[in-house]
Amino acid sequence: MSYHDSHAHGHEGHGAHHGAHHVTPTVVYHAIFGALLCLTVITVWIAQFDFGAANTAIAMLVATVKASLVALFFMHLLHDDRLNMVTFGFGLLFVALFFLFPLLDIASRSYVDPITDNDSVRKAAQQQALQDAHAQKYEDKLSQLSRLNQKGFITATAGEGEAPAASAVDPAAAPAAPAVAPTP
Amino acid sequence: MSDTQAPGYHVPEQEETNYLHAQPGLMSWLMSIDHKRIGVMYLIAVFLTFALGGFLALAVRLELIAPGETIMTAETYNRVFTLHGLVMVFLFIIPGIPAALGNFVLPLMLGAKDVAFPRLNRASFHIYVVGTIMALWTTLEGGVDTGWTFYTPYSSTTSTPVVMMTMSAFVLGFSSIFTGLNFIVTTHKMRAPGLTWDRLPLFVWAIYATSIIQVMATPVLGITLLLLAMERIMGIGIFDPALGGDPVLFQHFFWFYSHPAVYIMILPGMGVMSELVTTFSRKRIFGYRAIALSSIAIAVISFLVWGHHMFVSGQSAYAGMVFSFLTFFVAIPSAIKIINWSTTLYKGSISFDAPMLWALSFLILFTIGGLTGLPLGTIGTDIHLHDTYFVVAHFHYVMMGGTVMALFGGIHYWWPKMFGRMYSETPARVAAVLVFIGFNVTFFPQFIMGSQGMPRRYYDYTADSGYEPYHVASTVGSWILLLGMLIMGLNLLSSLKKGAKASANPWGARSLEWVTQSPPIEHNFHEIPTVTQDPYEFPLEGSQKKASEGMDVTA
Amino acid sequence: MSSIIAHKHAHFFHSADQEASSAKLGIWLFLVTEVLLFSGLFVGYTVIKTLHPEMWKVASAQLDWVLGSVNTIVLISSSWTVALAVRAAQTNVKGENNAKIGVLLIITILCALGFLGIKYMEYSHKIHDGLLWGTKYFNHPDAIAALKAGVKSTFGLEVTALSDASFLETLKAHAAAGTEQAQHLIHHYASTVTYKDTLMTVEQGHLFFGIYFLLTGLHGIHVVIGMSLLIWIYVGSVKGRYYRDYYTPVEVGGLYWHLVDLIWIYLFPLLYLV
Repeated sequence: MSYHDSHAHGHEGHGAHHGAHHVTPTVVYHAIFGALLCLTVITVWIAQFDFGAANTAIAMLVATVKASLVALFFMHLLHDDRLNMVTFGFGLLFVALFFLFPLLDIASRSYVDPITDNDSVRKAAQQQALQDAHAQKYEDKLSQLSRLNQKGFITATAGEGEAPAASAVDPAAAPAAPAVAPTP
Repeated sequence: MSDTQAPGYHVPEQEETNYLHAQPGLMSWLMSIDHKRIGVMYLIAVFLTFALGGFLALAVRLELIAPGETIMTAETYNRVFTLHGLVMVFLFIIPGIPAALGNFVLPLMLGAKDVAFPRLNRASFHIYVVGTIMALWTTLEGGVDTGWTFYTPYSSTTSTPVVMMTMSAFVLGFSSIFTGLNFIVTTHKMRAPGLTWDRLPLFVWAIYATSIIQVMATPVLGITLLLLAMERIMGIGIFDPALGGDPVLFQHFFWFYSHPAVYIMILPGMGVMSELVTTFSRKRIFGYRAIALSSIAIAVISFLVWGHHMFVSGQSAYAGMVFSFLTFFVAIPSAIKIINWSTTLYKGSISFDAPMLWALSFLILFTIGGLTGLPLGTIGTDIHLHDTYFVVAHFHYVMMGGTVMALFGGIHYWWPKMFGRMYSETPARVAAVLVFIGFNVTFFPQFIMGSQGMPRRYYDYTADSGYEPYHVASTVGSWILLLGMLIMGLNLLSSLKKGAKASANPWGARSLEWVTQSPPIEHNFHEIPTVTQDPYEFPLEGSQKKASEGMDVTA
Repeated sequence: MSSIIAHKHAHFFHSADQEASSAKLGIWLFLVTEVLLFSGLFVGYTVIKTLHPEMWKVASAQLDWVLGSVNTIVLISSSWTVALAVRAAQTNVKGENNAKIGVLLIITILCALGFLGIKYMEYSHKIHDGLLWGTKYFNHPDAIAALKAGVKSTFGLEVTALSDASFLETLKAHAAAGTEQAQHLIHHYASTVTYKDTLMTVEQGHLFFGIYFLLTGLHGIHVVIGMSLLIWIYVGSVKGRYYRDYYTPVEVGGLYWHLVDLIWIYLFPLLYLV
C-alpha cells in the first residue's frame, strides 16, 4: 500500500466492485447439491459399521467435507473477498482452542494426582510392591515344599527333586504385579 | 499548550451547528444513530454505573474496617460484593472505553462519517440499557450472592435470583458483540483515503484488537450463562456432579470468555495510553509497529491462558502446567507496550497536563499490577495466594490502576472535543494526584494482608489475626479515592457551563479527530480528509524526520 | 411484477460497493459468533460423552436416524435453493428474475417448515416416552421414586420391580386406571418396560437427552429466526428490491440460512449416527 494513495478508500473495500462480483454457474450449485446428497448417504451407510474409536473421526471427516462444500460454494467463500474467509477461519481457530483445553484437562486428570503422586509416594509404593513380590515368592516356595513333603519327595537329594517342580510353579509364583499399584 | 493545527489539514473558520445541537429534545438523543451521541450516552451510562459500583465498594470497605458486624449482615455483604463485581465488570469497565470513548473517537480517527452499522450501534446501546435494568432488577429481588463468577455448584443451588442476573449478562453480551462487530467492520471498510493500516492511530489498533476478543469470546459467555440458567430451570446436569456432570467444566466455559474479557478491559486503556504518552511528550511514539502488533498478540494469547484461574479447582495437573507456561507469554506483549511508552517519554518534552498525570498513574500502577500477576500465574505460588487479597489487589491494580486511569485520562483528553469546553486545569490535576494516592493507600495494604493469608470475599476476620491495620488503611484509602473522584466529576461537570471554549486542536495532537471543529458537526467532516502522514508527526527538532519520509518504527 | 426499485446507499458510505462489502464482513463476523455460541454445546457434548461413553452409546441409539437423515436432506435442499435464489438476484437486471427469486425463497421456507414439522414429530415421541432432561427423564432416581410413590397412593400397589410387563398389565387392568394421574403413571411405568434392555441398563441417560434437547432446541430457534428472515426477504423480492447492483439482504439472509445448515451437518452425525 502506498503512503500517498489518496484514492484507497480502505483498501479491502477497494477491490470488491459489485458489478464484478463472481457469479457461480448454476451447474456448480447443482453439482454441489448432488455431492452433498451423496455424502449424506455415505455417512449414514458407513455408520452401520463399527470402527471403534474411529467412528466419530470418520463421521466428522465426512461432515467437514460437506461443511466445506457449503462454505466454499454455497456461501461463496472461494471467490469472495479473502477477508471473509480469514474471518471465518479465525473463528474456527478459536473453536479449536475451546475444545483443546477442556479436553486436555478431562483426558489428563487420571494421569497425575498432585497430592498422592510425588516421588516419595511413588518410591514407597514401588518398595512395597517389591516386598510384596518377595513375600509372595517366599510363601509359594514354602507351600511348594510342604506339598512336595506331603508327597514324600523330599529326600536327602532335595535340590534335584525341587528343580522341575519349581519351574512348573514359577510363573504363578512371580505375579506380574504393576510396580505402582499392587492391587487393582 | 499552544493551539496548533495539524499540518496539511484545514479546519473551517466558520463554526457550524455541532452534533450536540443538531437536533433538539431527549428523544432525538435516545433514538440517535450518530456515533458521537451514542458515545456520549454510553459515557453518561458508565459514569452512573461506576458511581453505583463505587458506592458498593465503599460499603464493602466500610464493613471490613473492623472485625465483626459493622454496617451490614454477612448475607447482605455477599450480595453487595457480588453486585459490586457484576456492575463494575459488565456495566462499567467492559463498555467503558470501547463503547463510550471508542464510539466517539474511532470513526473520527478513521475520517469516517459514522460507524459501518449506525442502527446496530444504537441497538447496542438500547440493549445495554435493557441489560442494566435487568441487572438492577435482581437487586429488588434481593440480589445475587454468588460472586460475579457464578461458579457452580453453588450458583445452581442458591435461592437468589441467579437466572435473572445471568440473563442480564447474556443480554449485555449482545451489546458488547454488536459494538465489537461494528468497530471491526468500520476499521476495515471506512478508513479515509490514504489512511493505511500503518498510519492508524494506536487507539484504533487497540480497539480493533479488543473488538476481536469481544466478537470471539462473548458468544461463549452467552452459552455458558444459558447453560447455567438451564441447569437451574431444567436441571440438565452438565455441571452437576450428582447428575454425572462436571463442575470444573463450568469454570472452563466461564474463563474461556472471562479471561479474554480481562483484555477487553485493559486493551482499550492501553490504546488511550499510546495517544496520551505521545501527545504530551510531544514526541513520535517509539515502536509504533511493536505496540500495534502487541495489541493483536495480546488478543490472541489471551485465549490460551484461562486455566490459570483454575489451578486449585481440580483441573488436571498437566492442564495446569500448560496453562501456567502459556500465561507467561502474555507478559511479553504487555511489557513491550510498557517499555515502548517509557522510551517515548525518554527525552520527550513532557507536559504534566491532567491527561498526562492519569497516563503516568497508569504506567506505574499497571506495571505493579502486571508484575504481581506473575506469582499468580506460577502454580506453586498461586496455591498459596489463590483467593486471597493478593489477587484482589492484583486485579484492582490492573483494572482500576490501569483501565480506569486510562479512561479518566482519555475523558480529560477528549473532553474538549466532545463538549467544546476546557475544564479547569488545577482541580483536574489535584483530582488525579488524590486518586493516585488514594488508590495506593487502598490497595497496597491488600497485597500485604493477602500474602499473609487474608482470604478474599470473607465477611469477617478475627481481632487477633493482625489484619485490622491493613483493613483500616484500605478503607481510609477508599475515602481519599472518593474525594479525588468527586473533585474530578464536579470539575468536569462545571466546565460544561463555565469552561472556556475549546479550539479544534487544544493539545496540538495529530490524529484526525482534531481536524474537525470542537464539538464536531453532525457528519464529522465537511470533506473527508486525505491522510498523507502517520498520526504521531510531532514537530520536535532533533528527533524528527520529515513527514514525507513516512514512518520509521524502530529508529 | 417485473421491475426493480433502485437502491440508494446510505450517506455515510461513499459507494454502494463499500456498503455491500461492509455488510458482508459484518454478517461473517456475526456467523462466527454463532459458531462460537454453538461450540459451547459441542464442547459440553464431547466432555459428557467422554465421561460416560457407555451411557452415550445406549442413549443415542434411541434417536431415529431415518428422521434425522430426512431432515438432513431437507436442510441441504433448502441450502441449495437459497443459493440459487442469491444467484437469481445477482443476475437480476430489470426485474425479470423477481418471480424466480420469490419461488426459490418460498421453496426454502417450505423446507424450513418441513424441518420443523419432522422435529416436532421427534420431540413429541421423546416427550411421550419421558426421554427428557434432568428429573423429567423417566429413569431419573427422583422420577422413579415419584413413580413408586404415585403407584402406591393411586393404585395402592407396591412397585417391587421395574420393567415388569405383567405388572404393567396389572396396572392397566386396575380399577383406578381411569384417572389422568393414573394414566400418567402407567405411561411412566410403560417406559421402563419399553426400555428394559436399553436405557434401563445405564444411569444418567438424562444427560444425553438434556444435551440433545439443548443442541436441537437452540438449532431449532435458529431455524425459526432464519425462516422469519427469509419471509421478510421474500416480501422485498416480490416488490423488486433486489437486483444486480443491490442484493445484500438476499445474500446476508442466505448466508445465515447456510449457517443453520452447516450446524446441522455436524449435529446430525454427532447425535444420530455415532
